Amino acid sequence: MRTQVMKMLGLEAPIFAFSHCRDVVAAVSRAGGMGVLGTTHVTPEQLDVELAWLDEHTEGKNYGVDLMFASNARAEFEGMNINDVDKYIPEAHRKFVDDLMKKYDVPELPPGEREEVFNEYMRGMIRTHKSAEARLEVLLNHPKVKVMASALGVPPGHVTEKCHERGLKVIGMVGRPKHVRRHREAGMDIIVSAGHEAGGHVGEIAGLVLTPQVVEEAGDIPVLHAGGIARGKQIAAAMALGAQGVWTGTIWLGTSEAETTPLVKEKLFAATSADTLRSKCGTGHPARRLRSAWVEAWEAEDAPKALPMPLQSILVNEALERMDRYQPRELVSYPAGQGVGMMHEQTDVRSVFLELLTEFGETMENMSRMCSEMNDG
Amino acid sequence: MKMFGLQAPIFAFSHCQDVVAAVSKAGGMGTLGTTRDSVEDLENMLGWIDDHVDDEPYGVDIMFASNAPKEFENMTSKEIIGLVPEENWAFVDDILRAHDVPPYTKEEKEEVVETYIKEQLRTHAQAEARLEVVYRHPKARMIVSALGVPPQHQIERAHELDLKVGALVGHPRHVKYHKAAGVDILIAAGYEAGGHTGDIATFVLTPQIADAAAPIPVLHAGGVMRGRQIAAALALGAQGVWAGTVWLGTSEAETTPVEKGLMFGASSGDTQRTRCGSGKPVRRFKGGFVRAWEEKDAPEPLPMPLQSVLVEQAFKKMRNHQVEGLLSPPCGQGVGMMVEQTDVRNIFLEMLTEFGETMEKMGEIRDSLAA
Repeated sequence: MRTQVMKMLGLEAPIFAFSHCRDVVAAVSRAGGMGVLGTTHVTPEQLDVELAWLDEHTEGKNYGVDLMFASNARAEFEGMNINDVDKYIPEAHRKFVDDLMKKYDVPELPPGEREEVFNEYMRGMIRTHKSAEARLEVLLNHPKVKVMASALGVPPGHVTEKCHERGLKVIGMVGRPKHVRRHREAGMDIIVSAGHEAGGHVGEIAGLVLTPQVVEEAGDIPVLHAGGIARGKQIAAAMALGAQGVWTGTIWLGTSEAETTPLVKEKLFAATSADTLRSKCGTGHPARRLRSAWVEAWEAEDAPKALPMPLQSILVNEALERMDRYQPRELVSYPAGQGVGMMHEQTDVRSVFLELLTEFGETMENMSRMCSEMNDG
Repeated sequence: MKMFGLQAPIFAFSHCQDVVAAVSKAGGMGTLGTTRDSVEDLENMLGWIDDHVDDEPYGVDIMFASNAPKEFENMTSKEIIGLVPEENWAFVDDILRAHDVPPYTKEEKEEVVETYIKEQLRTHAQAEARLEVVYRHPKARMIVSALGVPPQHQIERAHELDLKVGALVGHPRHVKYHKAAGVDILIAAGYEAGGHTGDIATFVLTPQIADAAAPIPVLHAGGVMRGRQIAAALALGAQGVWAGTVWLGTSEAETTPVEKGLMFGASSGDTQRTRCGSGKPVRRFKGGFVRAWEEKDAPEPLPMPLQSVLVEQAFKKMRNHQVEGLLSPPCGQGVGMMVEQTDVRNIFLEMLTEFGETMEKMGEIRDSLAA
């Protein structure tokens, strides 16, 4: 017998792994969990290539794809070209970013590439519903995709219907108990309870308090616990809170398969759980990331306020590309949760997966023993 | 649990003697907070608890903030009051006025603040005076440092008297200082907890504290309202839980009806960490007082213990007037699970029942996964 979620998706382990890296996704699905690919960094054409690769590398296992349906990502910014930026993005914001890049001597992109990077971003990655739906069309052509997750916002009704028609399960993510109702009404099959400690887009309520309340609100819909999971004992704790499995992300960033650069890994392994913070600097929504001079500059008192989604991403996209390419030590950051304090050295997906499962099993044994001891007096 | 011969792995923090006694009698460990009362009051409260706890043990919580400056101990009240800038006094008065609460006159305020400084200022000298009281009450079996590493000589003295010493920690790297000082029990206090708290959430904090503290036992603090969370805490490596907020809604608690109303109506998102109450980050209900300090033109809160010198007089006014829109009592994110008044014994039983059920269920899950 397995938890409801495991049965629903034919999983051997109650572990969902979010990653922007196809190698991680494939390795997790092969190991018996559910790999879920993040798609905000690729165009629909690139996504098609990624999914074709995954189809061939998951050994017949299923996997998932994560899209974003932020409720306030308005469509009016689609079709912007690089010269429109001045119109929508205040000069003070652009100057703030330029000054930071200068202060830390981050090289400019090579001539001609600025516009290319911008256009590619606008063509395929802008965080709007239309852009998410273009990706949706791609994933529906790949039958091994069994899960469509929405990392932000409730997917529109027609999107959920389309997924259900094709036999996909739809996952929504919540950071507050009161948001569960909207997800339930929208027909979500699984709800992820994402605590304050999680990496990426998160709210303010910690997992230990959030998950029991989300479980209660969700009724029959199974719940996954997200936030800070780096060890097997936390999976057991999540189940005690009423979750049927866990949704993980940060833990895979330290694997040899991950897309993270050596410098990002070095920073991840050195970080304590207090070295991340929630900041709107990346997307306009609060997302937890590693502390760095880039993030702290945005959080400083004299910094401009982050723009609403999707403008903030349009504003910082080029800077992120430059930081990604040239890896300025002080500035480099990466989305990561508080679990980062438990990551100390590079390993691989299979080892992480096995360690999680082993400690989970041991913890369940321990709990069972404690239970009999208590019953015996 | 064995350390104190407890029936249940539940430690309860409360400023209210009734809650402390009721928890200890129910088989847990009641622990009295001491920052709100004078040394004389503490003597009376412990005497009352001694009379109402049968032969069960209880604990007392003391603050040893590492940066409570020594110089305050040799200063007159007037000198200390003089360290608070005029505009901060005016700012706090304005918060009260905005909610139709008349602030103290200059003379009244001086008197109230001087009494506060004399009786409650958060210095080590005050902490040590409180310990002397605790040592005279042999049913008090544990002292806990809510903030900071307890001084070595006090740990030794406590050990000579066969008391256990506990301390709250919010960051894994602080564990080594407590270990070196000889602390017997550590309490991993997460971001979601009420009162003084760091920004690491328990789900991540407790496993790391448990690893760093071994073989010293660890309690899990933060957000615990339900039995299933006790099971989760044990899974994370804790040996029990430390709970505070959950008792604020009981009929025994010192909380006023208006405060209780606010808490029963609050969701988990309605609390906030703020330095406005003590100078250090404390999680409180996001009431009018807390919100005023978040405004753009608000002054930065002063360091401990000066912020308390400034605001405790306002808290006294707020207690007297009970204006719903202003009150901002300390409480944790668990407040979202608190919906109506009950009593200590009921909460205790409900927690234990759900804890037992969860442990049984975990056993079933284990069996099914193994099959």
